[in-house]
Parts: sequence; C-alpha cells; structure tokens
Amino acid sequence: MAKITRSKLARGAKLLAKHLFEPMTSSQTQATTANLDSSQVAASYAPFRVNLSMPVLSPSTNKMTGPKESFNLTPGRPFHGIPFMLPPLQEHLSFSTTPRGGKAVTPSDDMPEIVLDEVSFSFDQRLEPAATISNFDGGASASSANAGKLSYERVDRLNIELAIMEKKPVWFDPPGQSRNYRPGRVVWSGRIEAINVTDSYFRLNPWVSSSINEVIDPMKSYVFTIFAPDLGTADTECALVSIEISMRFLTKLTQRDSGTDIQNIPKRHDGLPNDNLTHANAATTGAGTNSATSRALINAAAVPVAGGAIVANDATTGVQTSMAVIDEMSRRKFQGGYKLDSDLPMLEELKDNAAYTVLAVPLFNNVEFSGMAARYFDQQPYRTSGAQSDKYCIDRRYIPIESPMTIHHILFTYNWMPFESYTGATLASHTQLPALAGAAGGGVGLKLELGVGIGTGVRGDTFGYQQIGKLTTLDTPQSAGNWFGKAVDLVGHGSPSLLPSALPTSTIASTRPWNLELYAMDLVGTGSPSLNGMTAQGKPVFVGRGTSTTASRQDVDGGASNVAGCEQWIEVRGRIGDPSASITGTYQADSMLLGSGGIWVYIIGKTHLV
Amino acid sequence: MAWRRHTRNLTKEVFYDGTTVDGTRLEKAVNDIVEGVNSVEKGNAKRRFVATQYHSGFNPPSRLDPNRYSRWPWLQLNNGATGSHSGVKPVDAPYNPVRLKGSSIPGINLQEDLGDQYVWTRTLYFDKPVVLHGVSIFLHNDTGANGDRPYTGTNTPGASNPYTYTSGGGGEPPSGFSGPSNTVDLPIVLDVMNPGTPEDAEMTDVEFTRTLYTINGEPSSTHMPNATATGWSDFQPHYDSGDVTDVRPLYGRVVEYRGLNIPVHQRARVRLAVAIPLYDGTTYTQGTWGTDPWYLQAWSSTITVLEEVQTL
Repeated sequence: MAKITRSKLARGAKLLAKHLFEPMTSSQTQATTANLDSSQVAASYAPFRVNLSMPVLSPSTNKMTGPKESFNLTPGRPFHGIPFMLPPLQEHLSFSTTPRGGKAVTPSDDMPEIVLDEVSFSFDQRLEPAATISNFDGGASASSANAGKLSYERVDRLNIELAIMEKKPVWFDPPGQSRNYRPGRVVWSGRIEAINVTDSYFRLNPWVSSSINEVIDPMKSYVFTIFAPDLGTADTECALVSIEISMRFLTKLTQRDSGTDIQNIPKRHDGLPNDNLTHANAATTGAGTNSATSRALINAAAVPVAGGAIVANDATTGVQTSMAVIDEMSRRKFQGGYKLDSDLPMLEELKDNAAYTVLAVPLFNNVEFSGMAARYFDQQPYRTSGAQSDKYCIDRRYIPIESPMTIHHILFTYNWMPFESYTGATLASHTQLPALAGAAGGGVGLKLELGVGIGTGVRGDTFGYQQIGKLTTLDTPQSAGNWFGKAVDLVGHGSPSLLPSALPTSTIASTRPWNLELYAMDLVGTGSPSLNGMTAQGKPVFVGRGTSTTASRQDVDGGASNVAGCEQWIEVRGRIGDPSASITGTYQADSMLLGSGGIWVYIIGKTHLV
Repeated sequence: MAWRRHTRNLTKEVFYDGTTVDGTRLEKAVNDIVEGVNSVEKGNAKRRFVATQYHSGFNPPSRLDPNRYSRWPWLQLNNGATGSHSGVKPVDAPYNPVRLKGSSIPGINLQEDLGDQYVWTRTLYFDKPVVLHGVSIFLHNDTGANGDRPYTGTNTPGASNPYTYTSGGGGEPPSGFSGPSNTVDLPIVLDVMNPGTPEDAEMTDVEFTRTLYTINGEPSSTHMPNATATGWSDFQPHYDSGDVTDVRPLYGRVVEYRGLNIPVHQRARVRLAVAIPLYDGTTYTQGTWGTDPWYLQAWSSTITVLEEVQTL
C-alpha cells in the first residue's frame, strides 16, 4: 500500500460521503491490516553503526606504509586497513553467473538504501594533552621502560588521517582471473591534526565528522583506513591506545522477517503482525489508554452511501465518530516492532518496523605484537611450550543479546598486514606468508576455524549453545582452493613493497598482490543466497531473549534449538593452528600466521524498532 | 505531551449535531487526519528506537608467556604518579592527576603513590541524544585448575581462589579484609564528559558505576558448566586447543545490566572505564592479581544504546 489519497472538499462542492468517509475507512483499513509503510512515517530512517575497537596501533604493530608526502623523507606508518561490506539482505540478494564466469547482480528495487552519516574516532590520551609511548620506543626492543607513559613533548606526533575506500569485490570477477585488488574510490576522508588534540582545555578526541550523506553501494567492499604517519621516528615511537571507530549509517525502515521458514523465530507469532489478535476481532481501536473508553471501529458497511445523509456525531457512523476512531489509534500510538523479550505488540499498524544492522566483533586483536608469527606460536594462549599436540590458539567473544534481530549474513576478514616483533635479542619484521622453513618456502597447512553460536546459561542453572553460523574453515593459505579462492574480496592495501610474500625474500613473482581478505560464513541450513554461493546458506536466523511465551521457536538447522528459545548471548569463536604439523621448527620462523589487527567478524541482519 | 484543552491528537476540529459546520473546517479536519496517517509523527509511534551495540574485547597475551611485552590497552589511572610520564611536561601538568571518579579501592592510595590502577577506557561520541540501555563487562576465566590455561583469574592457580587477597609475603590485605577474603577492586565507571569543560575529570557526570563490589559475587553461572561437554551442547569450533582441554564452557565473572534507560544528551562524549589494581606488594598484598593483572582474564565489553529513528 501507499499513501492515502482523497477527494478535496472544494468550496461550493456538494458534500458527499466520499469526501469524509473514504479517507477514514482507508486509514482504518491500512492501520488495521498493519500496512502503514515507511513512506507514511515521518522519521523513516534508522541509524546503525559499524563499531571497530582496537587495543593498540603503532608503527611497529603495523608496519604497512602509506602514501609518501612530499615533505617526508620516508613514507609514514602505520597505514592500517579494516575491510567491511554492507551486502543486501537475503531477500534483496540475487545474482547469476555470467558467460565468462563472473557474477552479475540483479538489484532489488526494495533494497533500502544505506547512507553514511557520521564517522567518529577516539583513542585514550589519559585525559591529558599528551601522546602515549609505545613499548617499541627506543628502537631496540619491545620492552621500553617508558611504554604506556605519557609524553607531552610528542603530542605533535598525533596527526591521523582517516578514510573509507571503496572497491569492487573480486568475487564478481571470473574465479582466479581477477587483477582487481586496489580500492578505486575514496568515499570519505578526514584528518585529525595534532593541534586538535593538544589543548589542555578542549581536544577533538573523540573527533567526529557528521552529516556526510554519502550513499553506500551494497555490492561494493570498503576499507576503513587509519594512517598515522608521524607516530614514530628511527628510534622513538608512540602508540594509539584503545581506538574506537564508529561509522554511523542511516537506512530506510523495511519490513521485518516473518514466516515459518525464519529459523528460530518464536512460534507464537512467526513475525506476522496481528497473528494472535486482529483489530476486527478486538472490534475496537484497542484504546482505552488515553481515553475513558475504547472506541468501536468504523463500520465501513454502515457509512452513508453516495447521496446518503451525512450526520456529525451519530453514535456509529457520524463524521466526528469516524474521525475519532483514527484519532484514537494515534493517541494509543501506532504499534510495530518488537518487545525486548521477542514478543510482538498484540495489535499492530506499522508495516516497516525493521532496519539493517551490523554487529562487528574482533578476534585475535590483542596478541603479543598485534600479529601472530610462527616464531611465537608456542607462546600463544592455550599453547604450552613444547606440547605440539596443542594445535590451536583460540579466541572468543561474548555479546549479550539485548534486542531481537534476524541474522542474514556473517562476513569475516583475514589479514596479512606486516608487523614487528622482538626476538629477545633483535627486532624482526614479519611480511612472509606462512611457509615451510628454508629459502625455498613451500605451502603449509595452517588452518583457521570460525563459528558463531547463541548461548544460554549466564546467571542460570543450565548451559548450552546452538550453532547459527556454520563452522567455516580456511586451510593452507598458499592454496587458492581452500583459502583465498573462497574470498568475497581480496584487497591490496598500502605500499606494494610490503605486501606479503611466499618466500623469505620478497620478489615480484613471490609477492601476493593483496593483504586484506573478506569472506562469508554461511548461516546454518540451506536455501538462501549468500555471497559465496547461490543456495549455500540457511534462511535468516532470529535471535532474541525469550520468555515462557516466546521460547517456543521454529527449527534451527532442521531441528529444535539446543537452547530452546532461551538464548542470552551471541558467541563468536575462532582458532588458528596446524593440526598436521608442528608450527614451531617447521614453519619459517618469521612467517606470519595472522597479520596486524587480527580478524573482524560482521554479523549482519535486521534489527527492530523497540 | 503538552497539555491541551481538547482530547484530540491528529486534529482539534470537533463537530457536533446542532452546531455550525463549514467546509473549510471539514476540509482541514479530514486533511489533518489523513496527514496523521500518511506521515506518522515520531511521537505517534509506540516504538521508535533501534538498539546499537558497541562491542570490544580480547584474549590478552598468555600469562604463561615469559616475555609478555604488551599489556595494551591498560594505561595508568594516576597521571600524577611518579614515572607516569616521560620527558618534559608543561608546568601545570598533569591537568587531571586522577582521570576517573569513583574508582578508589582499599589498599591503593593514589595521592600517596601507594599502588596504582590500570584502566581500559573506551570513549564514544553521540551527535544526537541516545538512551543508554545496557552495559556488560565479562571477565572470561578458564574453568578448573589446569595450570596450563592462561586465564585462570589468579596468578597462583590451584593455590588461591581467583580475586582474593593473600597474607604473608609482600604485604597484608587492606584493613577490614583477611588473607582469603574476596577482593572488591574492579571499578566500572561510565560517565559523560561535561559539555563546557570536556577535558576535566572532576566535572564528568557519572551515569553508571559499579564499585567496591565483590568480584566473586558476580559469577557468570550458578553452576560451573561441566568442562567435558556433559549435559550441555557445544558449537563449533570447540573452544579448545586440541590438548589443553576442558576449556570449552564460557565461564567467569560478569557485570551486566540492561534496561538502564539513562538518557544521554546530544553531542555527548561517553566514556566507559574498567580499572584493575596493581597493589604495591609491600604495604598491601597484591593478592591473586599479582604483578601482571593484565594477563589473568580475557574480556568482552559491550555497551548498548538505543538510537531514535530520524529523517535523512
């Protein structure tokens, strides 16, 4: 449906029933059938954010260099990048394979547009006009005695350039034939001058750029870039600590997911409006909240016919009586969205009450040197030195479920950005891909495993999980088939001379033209499109806190949920290791297992008005 | 809603039999009603907020790693402490000797340089008003007493319960506590910076705080989940290394509140801070926090705000 139209009551015209009653009955019909859509809502855009949090960033924790400025002798660093994508929701995602093997997208007219509205950036200065000294300060080790201390003298080092760059994903290109690795467009950029954060009374930290109003392409990938070229010199170094990035987007309200094929949705309503009570059955406006009595609905059959007598306040069909019905609904307030316990309002009028949302979750983002090298694998958490049967280092995050959402996609990143470590005697750089020790290199069976589940048991006397994002494995980084051949996008970020190499000594032939990777993790089940296959993943998965009325849920992955509709949190897990070989002693010691900054997991779907 | 004489919301036109009615009033009334349905105002919709979550967290480097060069993102609370800065500082610096309110704990005296606290600070910005809905801080602790697990919550696994004071050796528990007492030393503060003096730590508006509570009084589960996946269902990948087993259940200490319903004004700087203690170890015992409190637990931190729908 769309907006209600009506016949205007021109001066001198004969007063007809259609002038007065048609608008009222149309309004009532739209409201009672929950068909007031986003075009009929004054504030029809909902905000969502991609929030990225980093424990630390310094020239040593990320050695990637950025563009050289004319007044600098050397290009600065770090030039850090975090890729992300805001793909269409499942019902708006449609594509086919082209004759040449690439992907052709069919845009959906119903896809709500996404607009970049605001970017904010903050880091911890300890509430002083000062910089923080890195643990690599001094240039000789990673254990500077001044690490973490304030430096008022070096506050001029805090020049920070930010940008969001856009790129066409390689997944659109025929497999293995893409040479498209570099971002092609800067969507937005900003610069924090050191002078902005050096005043003792007012500092632009957080720094914010608002009202950006830049439309985002759902079929493009993006890279959030942080460039802090002046943090370090040859033997001094500062760090940005506890970075918080928030990209705020606006998106048009859309219809919420409903039906029995939505996994884990409460059976009580299956997402359908007015599933347990209709306005017709209620037979009133559902009011009584703001007036003494609720009001009977307009009896459309009883309103005056053409030429019939029109009265003002007849008990059932008067003009005033009819107008008061619609007025009463608005005083009760038009209903839509979800309650926080996953139930729906008993009577609803609003059709579009869901909105795009993203939850960004970091993994392995705070390892010893911000990246993971083969040399230090035995010191990673859950590894014990010499116990090679400890195959993996592991990480997980706990995110409480606060508002009902349906998950449509899960994306994740992997990166090969170079970093520096300290061997105990010297500093070592890590730019090589995981490879066998020796000048000849050779592929190794490094494995990444990721999965997403929902859990129950916090402050409870039960415990359990339900898998919702399939166990996703990347295996053997130097092999296309099980690693980068699965990627949605591969991004070359920063100086080409520091891109990862398959051999200890980088050559044109051994250098890989990308260092950031973006992948899709399929939802459990089958039947829906995802970014790496037409029917590879399941239908959207509902997650929301439940009560005894909303705990009964539709199946997940073909069976009853293991948490029985009592989910309290989302858990994201990952582990990295080589189940078939000892990394220490087998791998090239300086080869990196994971680049600077770790992994980001993006849980993408619909949130709801609450 | 402002007080009005009439009880109507969409239109104030009222028609009764026996009273005058003119076409202009009728036209206006119908137009008001139709516009009220064609362009529903924010205030006429019952639900008009969406939830946004700011999540962060990390597994820190293993406490079993002999080097442990990095302790980010923890930074000293006491800006005035001896050795808290390097190089020359301005005459008036530090401008905020203590950068957090309500963070005092027994056994640490920042004014006398007796111990210190280390803070993980997350600062957010809101251009438009929001409602603070939830704060969740989860300290991940490994279940059981396997000494190879990195996040036991204590630097002496098997010997001392996590988050307790100890007697003997370097210093004694603070007054009012004894050797095995539970500690009360993990302040959590969420404050909003004063719009007029945004860099002044004394002028912040504390909106949410938990302080001087017993950490061990906030277990994540009333029963420690069975470590061998008996009686509960897991998901993949399992949270184990393949050998340092029995680490799968999520367990630890959790400080979690929802439904806070705290309004935050426009253009607000909001700061969430968690402070861990580093006792001096001479006058007061370091307890199970030891000398490296950064490495004893993994963290998940989530702030949930409700943001209002808007026009483009």
